Amino acid sequence: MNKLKAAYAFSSCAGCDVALVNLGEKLLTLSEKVEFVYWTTATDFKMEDLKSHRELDIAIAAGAIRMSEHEELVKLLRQKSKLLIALGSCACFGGIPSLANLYDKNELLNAIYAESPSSSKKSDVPRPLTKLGKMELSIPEFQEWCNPVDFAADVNIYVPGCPPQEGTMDWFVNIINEYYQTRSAPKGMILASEKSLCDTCQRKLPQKVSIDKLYRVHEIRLDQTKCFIQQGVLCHGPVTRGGCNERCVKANMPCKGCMGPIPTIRDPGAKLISVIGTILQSDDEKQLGEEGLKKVVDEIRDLTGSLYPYSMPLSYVEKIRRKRSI
Amino acid sequence: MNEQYEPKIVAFLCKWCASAGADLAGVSRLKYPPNVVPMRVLCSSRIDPQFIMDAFEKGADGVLIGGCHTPNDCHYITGNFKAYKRHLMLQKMLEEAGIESERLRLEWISATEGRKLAQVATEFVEEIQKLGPLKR
Repeated sequence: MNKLKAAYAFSSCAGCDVALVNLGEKLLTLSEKVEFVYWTTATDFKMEDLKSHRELDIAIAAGAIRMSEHEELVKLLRQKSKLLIALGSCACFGGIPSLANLYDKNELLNAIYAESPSSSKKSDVPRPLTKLGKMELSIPEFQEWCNPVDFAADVNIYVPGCPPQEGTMDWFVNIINEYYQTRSAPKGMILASEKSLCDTCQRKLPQKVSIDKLYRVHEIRLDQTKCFIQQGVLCHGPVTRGGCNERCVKANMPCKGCMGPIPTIRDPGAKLISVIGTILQSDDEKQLGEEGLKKVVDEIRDLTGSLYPYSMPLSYVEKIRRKRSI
Repeated sequence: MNEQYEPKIVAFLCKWCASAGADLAGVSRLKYPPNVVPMRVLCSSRIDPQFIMDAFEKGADGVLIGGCHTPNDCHYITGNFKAYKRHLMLQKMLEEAGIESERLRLEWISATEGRKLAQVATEFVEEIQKLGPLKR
C-alpha cells in the first residue's frame, strides 16, 4: 500500500509537537506508513509546499485559530485531506489562548502594543496592510475571536489534552494504523473517556462537604489523599472527561479541565458554579446569612478565568458575547 | 431604544413560595406585565446555572429567580441559600464578561406575597427596558 501523506500545521506553543515526538519508537514504526510532507516544527516547509500537493490523507491541526493565516491553513487542510485531526486542547476547545475572548480585539491589541510599560510612545498597533510608496506589506490579521478548529472546518478526530498524554497518543497511533488499513474516516470522534475524571480518581469525596472559602492553589498546603474539592480548591474533575491517566491529580494538583467537558454537560463552568454553590460554607449558611455569604463569594478572584481555563468558546457566556458584538 | 421594545423575561419560581405567590397574584387579579414567563421548579436550588445561561443564550433579556425567604422559609431547609450563592457567582461571571449583572435578579417571595411578585415583575421589566435587549 502507498504511504499516507500527512501534514501537520500548528499555531500553538509546540507542546503538541513534543507529544508527537515523544512517541519515540512508535513514531519510527508509524513513519513506515506515514510520510510527513508538511511539518514546520520538524523541517523547513513553506505554505507553497502545502499548496503544491493536490491531495493529502491525514492533516493534523494543533493550536487554536487566532490569526487569519491560521484559518486559511485549517481550511486548506480540510480541503486537501480526508482525515482532519484536532490535536491538543487548543485545537479541540480553544484552550488557554481563547481566554483572551473575555476582552475585545482592540482592547487586547492596545494593551500589548500601546499601553504596556515596555512599548514606546510612538509605537502603534500593527496593521494588516501597510503601504510604503508603491509597495504593499501585509501581515496576517488578528481576528476578533480565538476559535477552536471545528469553528472553521469539520473535524474527524479530536485528540484532547494539554499536551495529549501518552495513553491518548497511543490511541492516536492505533487510529492512524486502522485508517491505513481500512481507509474509512470516523466523524467527530473524541479520544477520551465518556465518564468524568472523578469516576477513576483515587481520592474519594465524603458524603457531606463544607468549605470556608475557595482557595487558589498557592494559598493552601494540599493534602496528598483528600479530594481537592473537600479542601476548598476548585478541581474540574466532576465536569471533565477522564482518560488522561490523572497525571495532575497524582502530582497533587487539581484538574484544570484540559480533556474537555463530559458529553452530558452543556457548559462546564456553569455546572461548576452549581458545585461551588452547594458546598461553600454549607454548614454555616444560616449563621452567616446573606451578607456573610456575599462576602465569601466576593473574595473569589478571577471566577470566569478559573471556570474555563481550556474551554472558553464552549461557554454560554461567550456565545452571548459573540451575539452581542454582531 | 424605541418605545416598542418588549423584553423577554424568564422567571424561575419555586413551587412552595414564589410560584404559590404567583398563583395568589392571579387569584387576586393583580396585573403585571406579560413579558415575564413563569416556570415552576421544585426548589430555587433546583435551578441549574446552566438553565439560566441557556435562557440568556436562547433570547431572554432578563432572568428572575423567585425563592422562599431566608433563613427559615425553605421547604428543603437550605435550598434558598444554595440558589443565593449560585446567583451571586453567576452575576460575578456576567460582570467579568462585560454583561450587565442586573439582568439576573433574585427575589424572596412568600406564598402570601402576591402583591410583591407583581411589583417585582413590573419593576424588573422597566429596568430591563432601560438596559435594552441583551443581543444588539
